[in-house]
Amino acid sequence: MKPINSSKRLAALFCGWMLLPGICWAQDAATVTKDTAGEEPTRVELEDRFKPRYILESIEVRGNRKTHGELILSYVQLKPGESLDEEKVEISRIRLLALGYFRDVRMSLEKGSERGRVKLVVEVDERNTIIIDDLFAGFSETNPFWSGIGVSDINFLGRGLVLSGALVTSEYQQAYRLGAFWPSVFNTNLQAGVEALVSLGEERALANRVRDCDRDQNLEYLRAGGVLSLGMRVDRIHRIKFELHGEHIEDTSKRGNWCATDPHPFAGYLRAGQSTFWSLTFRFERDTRDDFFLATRGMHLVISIELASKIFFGSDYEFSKYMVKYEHSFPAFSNHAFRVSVVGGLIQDVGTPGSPFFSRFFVGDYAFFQMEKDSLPRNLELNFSEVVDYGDLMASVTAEYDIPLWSRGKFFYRGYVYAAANFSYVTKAEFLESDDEEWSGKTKKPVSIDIGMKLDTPIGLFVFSLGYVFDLVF
Amino acid sequence: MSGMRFNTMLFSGLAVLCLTAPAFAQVKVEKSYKRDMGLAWREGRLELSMDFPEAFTQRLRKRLYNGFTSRILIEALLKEQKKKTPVAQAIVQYTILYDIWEEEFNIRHETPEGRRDLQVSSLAELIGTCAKLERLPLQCMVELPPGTKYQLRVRIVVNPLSAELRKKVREYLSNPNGSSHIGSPRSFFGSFSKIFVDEKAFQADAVYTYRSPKKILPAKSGPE
Repeated sequence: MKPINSSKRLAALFCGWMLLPGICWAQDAATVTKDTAGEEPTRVELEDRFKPRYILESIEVRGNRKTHGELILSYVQLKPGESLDEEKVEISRIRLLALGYFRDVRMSLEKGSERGRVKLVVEVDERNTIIIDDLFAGFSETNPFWSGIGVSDINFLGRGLVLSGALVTSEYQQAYRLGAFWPSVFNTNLQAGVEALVSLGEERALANRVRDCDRDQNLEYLRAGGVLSLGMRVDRIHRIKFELHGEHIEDTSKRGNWCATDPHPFAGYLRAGQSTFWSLTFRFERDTRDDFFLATRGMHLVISIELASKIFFGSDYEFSKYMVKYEHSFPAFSNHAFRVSVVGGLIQDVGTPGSPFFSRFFVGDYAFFQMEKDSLPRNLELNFSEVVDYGDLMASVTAEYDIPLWSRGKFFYRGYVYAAANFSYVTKAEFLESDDEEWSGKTKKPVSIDIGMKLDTPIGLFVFSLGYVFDLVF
Repeated sequence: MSGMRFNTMLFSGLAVLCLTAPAFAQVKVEKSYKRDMGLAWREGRLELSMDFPEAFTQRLRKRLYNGFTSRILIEALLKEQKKKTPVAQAIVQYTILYDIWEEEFNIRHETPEGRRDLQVSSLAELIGTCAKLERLPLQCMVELPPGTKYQLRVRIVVNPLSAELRKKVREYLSNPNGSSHIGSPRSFFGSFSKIFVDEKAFQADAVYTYRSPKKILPAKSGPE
């Protein structure tokens, strides 16, 4: 061991690391030193021997079995022939890790063809990228049993594409969805996606829910279409997105079986026979949450405007839909978090039906469960409950309290318990002006609560909710 | 209640709902040890001696050869029993760079009192140098009365990420892959994120915390 020099007195190099609460010998002096003779402070850089100064000769990717090398290289911010910049190397490592395709990313240097030239080796450990998006299972009075699953590969064919598929089926209804998403088009801020959806659905109104009728009244339909989307990450917290939604819709109901109730349960749900639906949606998002799994600070704002009109490829449905969501997270006692979320929506229809029923607001999409025991969220936009009321006005408020339980587990990486309360209100604007008690029964104003646990695992984020149990008990 | 009947039998067979998000396990080590550490007064200074070979894991040993700068930050706090504010503290940073052409390690040892640079040719020598504290002086912030119980906490952070890079981590994590569920109400109000990467896992490669048993401070010796 040979000492080289003992030189300057370091005042507080360490403050810059932010890991040492309250431990800084010199204020605001992360890079300021005084020499041993007590001269004026001077800015100190790590000397050359502590900064690798090489010319990058080549970059080699190792350990990738699935992910294409070109994709990995596109996230490395250095090119052969450039001087080695250690910070760029570290940023490249972080960007690769943030993709979620790798368990670990290691960077190292190897000797190049001559002194002063090096090869940068990017070594990756790939991880499972196939995840479960959704699991559905349940039974209700109108649908004795239904089940379904959604699966995604977030690194399809190793090219950084997201491919997702989902299906849900019951005796009366089936839906299939297939989508592809390009999260970073040619490594730019642009995002693009395409999704196809086919549904054979049946809105089921049981005979005992319809006045003066002894037969179940069902609205049977076919939906086949898709969504094209193009988005852009404006900066680190803002994002905009456009979606073009098109569908062929067929009302396949046996209307001859319908009781002549007035009004009929499904009046104005769909156009009779075949129809075409087109809409264009603009969405703006602002997201300052500090953590996407368990946010303790920050807000999440989403504003969307959807327009369906004859000018869009001759759509048979004409309406405008406006939605806003605002969520704010606050730090609470210890490392707990408190979150408040407000959602509001309005649909303006042109004619009847202006909007198809599946575009309208359904209370089960916003409430945890209902004290009246008649709703679950729709799965792939199929309604398996016996509530077939949709509204054009919606407001929902949720308050949630989260208590982290652990972090850095091996399979169950992180977990927290939550308790939440929700109030949702879905109605039709025309109901507000009507004194008809029959209509007021269709206005949904549930107060719901939920207690459960959320788990962050390598195969998906799981929510163990007691809401369904409450649904059963109450 | 609006008079709806209570005859609905509605039940989800699985009280499990998967949302659109895979987790992501970061390589991050966080361990705690209880260890008796040497604390003694010498010439009026309170000095700490200890070693921590556990921090030099196989992963770190391999990393030290990668040709990039590695840092080991050591923070020692002496706390009076049942009090949060430290009464004495010290800090040391090792900066290590392996020269792939000279095939030797450059080591910089820095404390608030100064710094010294060393070169060693083997990993064993490096560990012998950096995996221990020898007579590290603690800076006392108050007069330490004898007879009081104290506890020493030493925190070793391997490759802490700088504040600037931590901001960049936030930037990249705030732009996750986005949702593939386009157009459904659930995707609208679901998470936009396909990846949940714990931002905190980027703070450092590893953090080791050593705590001494609570014991009475040795008697002060040497000149004031």
